[in-house]
Amino acid sequence: MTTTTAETVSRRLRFRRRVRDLKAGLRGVLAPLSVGWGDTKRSFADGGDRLRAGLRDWPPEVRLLLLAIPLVVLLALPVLPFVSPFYKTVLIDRVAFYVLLALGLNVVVGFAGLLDLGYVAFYAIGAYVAAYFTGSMPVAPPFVLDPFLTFPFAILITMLFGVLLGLPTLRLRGDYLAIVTLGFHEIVRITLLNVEGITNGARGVNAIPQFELPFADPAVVNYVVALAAVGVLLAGIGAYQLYRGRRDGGRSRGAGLLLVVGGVALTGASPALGLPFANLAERFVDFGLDPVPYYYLSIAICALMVFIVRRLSDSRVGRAWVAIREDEIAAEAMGIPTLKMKVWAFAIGASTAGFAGVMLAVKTSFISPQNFVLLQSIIVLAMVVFGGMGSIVGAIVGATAIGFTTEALRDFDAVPFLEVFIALGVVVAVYGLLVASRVVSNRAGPVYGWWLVAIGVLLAALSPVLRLPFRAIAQNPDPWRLFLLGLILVVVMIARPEGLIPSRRRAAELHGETTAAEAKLTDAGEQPTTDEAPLAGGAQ
Amino acid sequence: MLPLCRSGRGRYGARRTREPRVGRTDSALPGCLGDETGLVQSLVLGLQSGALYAVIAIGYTLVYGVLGLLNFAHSEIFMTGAFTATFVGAAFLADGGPQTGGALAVSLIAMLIPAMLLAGLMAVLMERVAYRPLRVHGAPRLAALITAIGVSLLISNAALVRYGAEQIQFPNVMSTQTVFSISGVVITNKQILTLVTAFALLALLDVFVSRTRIGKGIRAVAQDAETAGLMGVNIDRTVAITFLIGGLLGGAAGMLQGLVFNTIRFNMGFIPGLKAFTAAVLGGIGNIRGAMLGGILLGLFENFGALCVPDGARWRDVLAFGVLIAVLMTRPTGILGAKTAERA
Repeated sequence: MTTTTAETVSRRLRFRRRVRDLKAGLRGVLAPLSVGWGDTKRSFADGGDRLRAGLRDWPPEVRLLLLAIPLVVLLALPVLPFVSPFYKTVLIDRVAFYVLLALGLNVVVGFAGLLDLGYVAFYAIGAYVAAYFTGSMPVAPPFVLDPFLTFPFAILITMLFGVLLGLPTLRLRGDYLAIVTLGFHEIVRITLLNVEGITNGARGVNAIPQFELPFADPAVVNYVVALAAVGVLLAGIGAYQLYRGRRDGGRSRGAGLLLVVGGVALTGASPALGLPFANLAERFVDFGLDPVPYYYLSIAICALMVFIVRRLSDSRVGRAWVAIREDEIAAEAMGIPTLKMKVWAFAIGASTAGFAGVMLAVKTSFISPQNFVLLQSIIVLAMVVFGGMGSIVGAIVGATAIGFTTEALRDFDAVPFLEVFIALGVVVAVYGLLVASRVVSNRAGPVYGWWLVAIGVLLAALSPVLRLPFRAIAQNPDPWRLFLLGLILVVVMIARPEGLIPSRRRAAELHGETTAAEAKLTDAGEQPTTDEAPLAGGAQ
Repeated sequence: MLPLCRSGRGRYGARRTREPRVGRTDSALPGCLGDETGLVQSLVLGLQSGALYAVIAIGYTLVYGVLGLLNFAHSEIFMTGAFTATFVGAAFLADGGPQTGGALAVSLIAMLIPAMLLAGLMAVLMERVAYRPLRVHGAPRLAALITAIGVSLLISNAALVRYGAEQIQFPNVMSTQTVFSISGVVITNKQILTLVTAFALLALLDVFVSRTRIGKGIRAVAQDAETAGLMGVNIDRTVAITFLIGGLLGGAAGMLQGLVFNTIRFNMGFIPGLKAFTAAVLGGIGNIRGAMLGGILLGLFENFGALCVPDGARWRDVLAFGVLIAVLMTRPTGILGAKTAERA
């Protein structure tokens, strides 16, 4: 050992500070999502400053890389479905729906800390509501709706179920709640299976119509209803703004009034506007069986959900959730209406699942209770925890990682194992070199880096041999899928119990002592950064 | 009373008053009142499945009491027991067909003991490899839960990879025979065997936990691990022993299940595991006698429900979970659960 302990410590601290600054910068860029509408300009400027601060300390090539990665991801997002048919199906059927589900469950489990093992029940309810209102079930609905118009119904009904389940059961603590939600899931699933006269039972519901723009039924009435609904929604938001305006000194009053007037006007004019709108809509696309429009729709819905959840997490409600998660009794004592807030978390989570349920029903055009087995709930929960509870990015990354993995494992032949192992070896070796040359600090020290180099080289060199067992798996991949998923879950949880991208607060909880010690050391040398104060509600 | 987890002595009264009440609600349901044969038969079937649930539920409740962990992988321990018994039986015994008398007893014990041991070993291994690192690390409880789910997927799908998805025949060492047949109520030798074994195991466990030194250690760790450690209880060893006991019982239950149903399968642990977990919560998770009571009540309720509710067999699970929710509404910590249990 040539370096002194002091040197190692200062190197490590410098590295940590860089990472922290960078994180602060990324958060700053995302800040417009979490700050109010009116402050967008300011928060963008603020975000830019923070990002610059975050990038300041890095070597230029690293800086380039750090900027390039998010850009590449953003640019790749819209073109991904055209890369290969594999991506086309996987992105929709697995990743997009799971991201949506994970976002919703993250609210329940990550924010409010309520262990929900029956989340997929709401997914099922959403899907069956869509099937019902499009007239695909054996029982006819009072009015047949276009698939698009089932969204509000599915959201409302799943929300209602969320409240119905939540109100009596949310008095229960921790694992008792887990088993009740699990029981609720089984009750919903078995009921769907047993009431054959209504749901077709195990045979499932098929021929659910696809999304279409113009609506599947080009009758003008659809457009009238849709426009009126949008109008009512806008007026509702406006009314809320007005209501709030009383308290925040009239800041939201102008916008609220505008929204109410606009919404009422739109609702009133909807009969007249229906026909021109219908004519206009003739030019839009037909979703049909092509997954690509669903992909874009999913991205849009996910973006919307991220926005909503992000805003919620920093709101009064979101902070109440965190308080409940941390210590329910203390939260209660502070005057937080805990039951109400928990029911809210349940309802919002449920409605997200309802959203996803409609998407599933319409996209696959066939649903059966088999789509909603308990394993699905467990997988979604695994995604949330795997990604990092309470973290929105974590939920997305977790859902994407697990969704892709399970899907890639389904199509084993498509995975180029030789290249994967070589790439893995190279990555490990390069990381090892970085550690060995002390560019990147690692707790285990530089010698560990040389070990990593050796392992990486070995991995790359042995790749023709290492892929052999996987080729054997490729002959019959199906039984291996969940086996490997289980293995990944165990390994990742042991290696990184806080998840891949934990929320700041969670990470701090888990490494409470190290961060405290670190803070003591860093505070002497530099000015404390404001964003380290635990103000934001756990997201990012 | 056995205070595994924060429960006092004075709960005997609660138990005594509750059992008959559930019985009354069952028989008060219309439609099955006149069917006395059916009722008694349901009682027998309910006791049988309830006893199995109880034996499995012990595994959940012990681990929960000590670690606060829902060991999802316990159902796979159960499956391990059934598979071990099957392979031991197939390898050494079953070529001669059904046996009787002393030979039968020897065969059953020869299958039961490896099943219990291997299942116990599996449980200990599981704790050592998967849960202990998390515990040492001070990981959040949900991380442990996800690990347990991962372990469950891992083991059951390993069995799927190795043995396929088909049902495997359990060794035909014991043919089902009717021992009693009183006015239509049939009680078979397997039912008696299951009941006797299960209750013997439950009694043994109860004595072990309440009377022995190790049992005292388990209770101490369940009550307050840190203090127990300061008092000289070896926590790691106690946790390992807890898993071992849960595993032994789970293995025995697996073998009994195989014996009763004659077939085994890679995912056979899932449903009984779920039910046993339900039973453990019903009785008050963390409480050993609660798990026993919960298991038996659940078994009884399912079978009476299947008889008394129209088309009841299909709604069996809905009934079971419905009862669970109803019970938790009135007693949020289960029938025998401690009132204070504050675990976020």
